[in-house]
Amino acid sequence: MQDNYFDENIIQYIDNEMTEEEKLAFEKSLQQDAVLYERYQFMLAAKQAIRSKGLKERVNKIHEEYIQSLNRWPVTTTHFPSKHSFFKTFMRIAAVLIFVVAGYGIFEVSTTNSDSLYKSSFINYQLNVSRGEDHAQQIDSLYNAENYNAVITTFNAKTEKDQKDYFLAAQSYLHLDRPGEAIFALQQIEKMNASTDQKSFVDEVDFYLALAYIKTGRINEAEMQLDKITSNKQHLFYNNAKSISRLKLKILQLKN
Amino acid sequence: MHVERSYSDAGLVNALKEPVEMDAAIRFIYREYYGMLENYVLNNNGSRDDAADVIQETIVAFIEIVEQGKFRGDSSIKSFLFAITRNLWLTELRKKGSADNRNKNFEKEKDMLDEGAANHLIKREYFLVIQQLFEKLGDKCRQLLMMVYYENLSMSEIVDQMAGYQNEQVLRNKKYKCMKQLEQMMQDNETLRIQFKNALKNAG
Repeated sequence: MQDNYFDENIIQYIDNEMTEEEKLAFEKSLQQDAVLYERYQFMLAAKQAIRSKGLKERVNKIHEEYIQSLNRWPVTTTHFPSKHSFFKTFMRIAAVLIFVVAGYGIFEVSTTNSDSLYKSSFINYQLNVSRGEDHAQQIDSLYNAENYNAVITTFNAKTEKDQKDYFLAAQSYLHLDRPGEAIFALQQIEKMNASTDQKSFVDEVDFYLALAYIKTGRINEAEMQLDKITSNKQHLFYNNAKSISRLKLKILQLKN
Repeated sequence: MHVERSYSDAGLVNALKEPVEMDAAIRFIYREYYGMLENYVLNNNGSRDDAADVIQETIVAFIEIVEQGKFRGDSSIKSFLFAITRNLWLTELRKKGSADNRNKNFEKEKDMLDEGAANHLIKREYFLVIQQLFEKLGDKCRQLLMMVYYENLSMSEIVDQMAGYQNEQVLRNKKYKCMKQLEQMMQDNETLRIQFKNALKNAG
């Protein structure tokens, strides 16, 4: 009871809620009672600490505002790292990484186009030496001689065409920068393979169709072809398809 | 956008005592002295983060010293702020480092501040403990005590702002209970009690 009485008096005194008479009486008690004096100091410290906390928050707001106005990268040479500084360091590293990634992204976006991706992914198809019939030998020889226009003329003159004819014609169209016609020829091979047990150039068609689609800017179809190849590790062009950057394909999709 | 105001030393002291002028005065301190104080910490094994913490503490301590009428103006505000920063930073180094000649340096630096200011800095060390205990109070208690002791609002103003209190007497009872709760936590904290008693003895 006595304690509560003192507490209430201490708080009233600290908060200036006493009459002059009460104040004088309390101050007299403070001088005479060491325990009361100590408790008064304790409560006074509590009041000052609360005020100090408010002041600290006020200064902190102006501090943040000032640091922002300096517009500088915070540089730390912390000798005594704290959790606080570890977090800040982490944020700084993240900021630098974002900066680098953003820079890389801008570079990629500005330099990527269908033609560059096609050229960097293209593989020159080497024909095995054939000892077959005359016309086959002729088209093979023309292809090996890189006479692509002649390959196409020979191809068009043929009345009966097999998968190999279409394939060499498709390769020639690609070399002559006529990807639309290459796509048509490659699709013919797919149709032929679908209707026979004697399948030829299956893996080659998958890959070169993907390239032809890239070249013509048909990126969704190119992606489907590449997905088809990379889903099969035994595919002849698995590694080639894997090496084509999906990021670049996404960039091309966005650009389209 | 804030209007940038300039102050003489005497003008700055007066501005810090006026709630409406205080923010402009604090901004002036930042513009004028932050660079110098930061350089001191950076040149004495500190980082920018260390400097930021110490300088904020310096400014808060300086405002409190001014409010309590303990800034005598024997030295310029620039020198006084510098002395507080040195004192606080060396205390920090002493806490972080082992007991070596930093202690001697600390004692030397402490002598550079007058007694009133030096005692206030000692007090601030246990203020931090009290502030941690304050955080353990309920939301309403914290809000009420901040309104009373920081914002200096009257009971009638607080009744208008805080829901759930019918009149000033109910609010006064609540304040009393909150302070009693805080005092009890302080009494239960032995380290704080010892720290406090020693500070009282040193203060005479």
